[in-house]
This record gives sequence, structure tokens and C-alpha cells, in this order.
Amino acid sequence: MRAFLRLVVVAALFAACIGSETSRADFTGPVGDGWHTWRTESVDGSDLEVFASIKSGRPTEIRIRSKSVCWDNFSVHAQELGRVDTEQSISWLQRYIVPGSDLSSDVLMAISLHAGERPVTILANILTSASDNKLREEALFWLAQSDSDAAFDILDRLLSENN
Amino acid sequence: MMNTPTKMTVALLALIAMSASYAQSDVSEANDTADTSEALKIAALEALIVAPPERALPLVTKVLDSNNNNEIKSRALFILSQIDLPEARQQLLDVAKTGDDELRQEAVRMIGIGGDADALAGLADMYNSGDENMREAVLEAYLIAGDTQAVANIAASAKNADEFENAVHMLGAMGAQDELRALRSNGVFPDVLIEAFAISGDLESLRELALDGSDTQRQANAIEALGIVGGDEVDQTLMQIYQGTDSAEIRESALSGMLISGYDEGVLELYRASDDVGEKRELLEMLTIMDSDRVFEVIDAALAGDR
Repeated sequence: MRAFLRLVVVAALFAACIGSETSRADFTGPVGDGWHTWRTESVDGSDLEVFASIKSGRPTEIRIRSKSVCWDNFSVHAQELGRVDTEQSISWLQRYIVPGSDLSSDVLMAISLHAGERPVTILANILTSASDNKLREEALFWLAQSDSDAAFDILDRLLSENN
Repeated sequence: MMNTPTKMTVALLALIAMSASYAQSDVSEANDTADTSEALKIAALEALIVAPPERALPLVTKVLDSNNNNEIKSRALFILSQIDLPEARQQLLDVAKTGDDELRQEAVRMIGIGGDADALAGLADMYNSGDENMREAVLEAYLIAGDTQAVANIAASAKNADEFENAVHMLGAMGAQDELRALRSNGVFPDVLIEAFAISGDLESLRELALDGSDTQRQANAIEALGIVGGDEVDQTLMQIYQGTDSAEIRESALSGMLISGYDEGVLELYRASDDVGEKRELLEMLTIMDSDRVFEVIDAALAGDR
């Protein structure tokens, strides 16, 4: 009986451990005012920590921390939301790309630092379809920052266009 | 019902009509599109500054080889100057050597911004074989790169007075005191060196010349140039020179030096110490030209004396 209990405890601990590293696919974004943070996969392979300050249900600030990105003196008490699937994290951020909004710059940066090809697709869409030239220029900046073939194909096409 | 050739004709006519209507509808819209496209290209080029060099170089090369306008190509040259690869440096030199004059000069300036020693050394030939614009661009490149020795070499081997003057002015702006002194010791001593000493802030050389009475004109120029350097030390020197000379020309130069340095206190002191009516008038005029409030001290003193 004691051995069985021990096995149950070990199994529970193992499950908790595995569970903590499993990405949340049901992520709907932070709720409630204040800072929230979640972890996902960064383009450089490290953990990407996304920090969002929420006010009245909307983000007012976005910050990013990863192996290659750090903010000097950035230290907040944030509600931990655990590990989040990259796609889910990007989808939530993408909602807040709004032409003319100061937050969009931080959102674009945050998206571009996520792993996978989706950031490039989003940036490329902004480049081709956004009406806000500032946003398009920022999309260009982050495309050039990425080391993705797809991103450089886009830049190549743009630079090869005839006026 | 229309047959196929009729449909084709109608469709073609409609297309032509649409094209004509589009072409006429808004020319400025087309211009705006071109402007946006150009602005995006420039933004794309500027974005390449943060791109990995190996990725950026082929794109920049493509832009330079394309039929884009010089504005876009100039931006490409700037990005090229920031790419830390030997191929990029070579390409910059290639553009500087051949092709469109405007781009060549821009490439030369970009070599200055890049600051690569080998590329900068390559500019000497371009200076010697280039026209006035190219020579100016090379001097600017050296100025940007802070290559005082290269400019001093140009000054030392100048083929005419203009070339020498341009190079010496540049050395002055660069604060290249040692190089300017070396030019002085070459034996040839044009007045342009005095200006350059002043601009470079070489008080020591100027004071030496200002106290050397072997050439009055040069001495006078040096005294005036001291005013450009300015400061307490200069003010004291100008006072000494003014009070220690019998030459009206040298005194006038010292006064001009004080005017340039804004040393109204010294002029007032000279005014108070003088018993000569003519001199007093001249000094008062100088205070007025200097727009100095000390003029009122003189006026108040005069009025008090009258009472």
C-alpha cells in the first residue's frame, strides 16, 4: 500500500512537471488589469518571455525578454500565465496591430521575435496591405532583422520593383 | 448575341477605355504611388543596416546595378559603407572609380563614413585624377574619417593656391594643429595658415606670430586671428600687444582682435586709461560696435563728470 502511494505521488509530481512544460493551446490572452507574462518559443531558440500590461481589458504596454533581448531596468510584478503555444501568443498580439497606435511598434517587435515562419507572413502582409506607411516601414525593419529566406525574398522583390 | 470576335473587340475597347480613364483620372495618384514605392525602397534599404551582412550585400548590389534613381542608389551606398565585408569595401571603391559622377562622389563620401584605412588610401589617386567636385568629395571623406595626415599630404603637394587653401581650411576645421605647424615649417607661409591656426585653436602658434614683428602684415593678421580663438589668455595677450606697441596698425589689429573675441572689458579699461581724445573716441566707437553695455558706464561717468 505504501509503495502504491509512493507511486501515485511520484506520478503526480511527474505529471505536474510535464504539464508545466506543455504549451497552453487554450490561451485567450491576459485578463484583468496589471502586468501579465507568459513564455513561448523565441526565434533564437531560447524562451521568449512576453510581458503585457493590461488596462480595461486592453494592452497598454508590451515588453519582451529573451536570450537576445533584454530591457534595462525592466522589472515588474507580473501574473504568470505559464507556457503558451507560439501560434496562440502571436494571434493574441496580432489583434493589437493598429495603424497609428504607438503600441503597434512594440507588438511588431514582439511578434517578430517569435519562432516559426508566421511572423514573416504577418510582417509581409503588413508590408503589402497596411495603409499606414510607418507601420510598413517597421514591418520592413523587422523583416530585415530576421534571418529568414522568406523575409529576404520579400525584401529582394521590393527592391527589384520598377517605380 | 455577340460572336467571339465581337466580344473580344468590345472587351479590348473597354480595356482601352478603362486604361485611358485611369491614366487621366489622377496623375498625382500615380505620382503618390511612385513616391510610396520609392519611400518603401528607401525604408527597405535602411532596414538592411540591421540585416546580416551576407544577406544585405547582394540586395544592395542589386539596387546599385539597377535603373533606380540616384536618391535610392545613394542610400544603397550608405548601407554598403556599413557592411563590414571586404567585398562591400571593394564595391564602394568600384563605384567611386567609375560611372555616374554624382554617385562616384557619394561613394567617396561613404568611404569616409566607412573609415576603412585601405579604402581611404585609395582615394588619393582619385583626388589627383578627379575634377574639382571629386577633389572636394575626397577632402570631405577625409574630414569625415578624421584622416588629417591624408589632408596634410594633399596640402603639401598642392598644385596651386586654391588646392592648398582648401586643404589647409579643412585641416583647420579638423583641429589638426600638428599638421598645420608642419606645413608652416616647410618654409612657404601663406596667410591662409593663420586662419587655419585660429580655426584649429592653435593659440601657441598664433601668439608666436602675433609677437613676431618681422612682417607687420602677417603680425597684424595673427593678432586679429587671436580674437577667433578667444579666452582669457588671448584677451591678456591682446592687451599686452596693444599697450606695448607704437604701431597704429598693430594697435588697430589688437583692437579688432578684442572686437572678435568680445573683450569689451579690455576696451573699456583702455578707454579709461587713455588721455588721448582721438584714441578715446576710437575706443568708444569700438564699444558701440561691440554693442556693449559698458558704453553706458562711459556715458554715466561722463554725465557725472559734467555735473
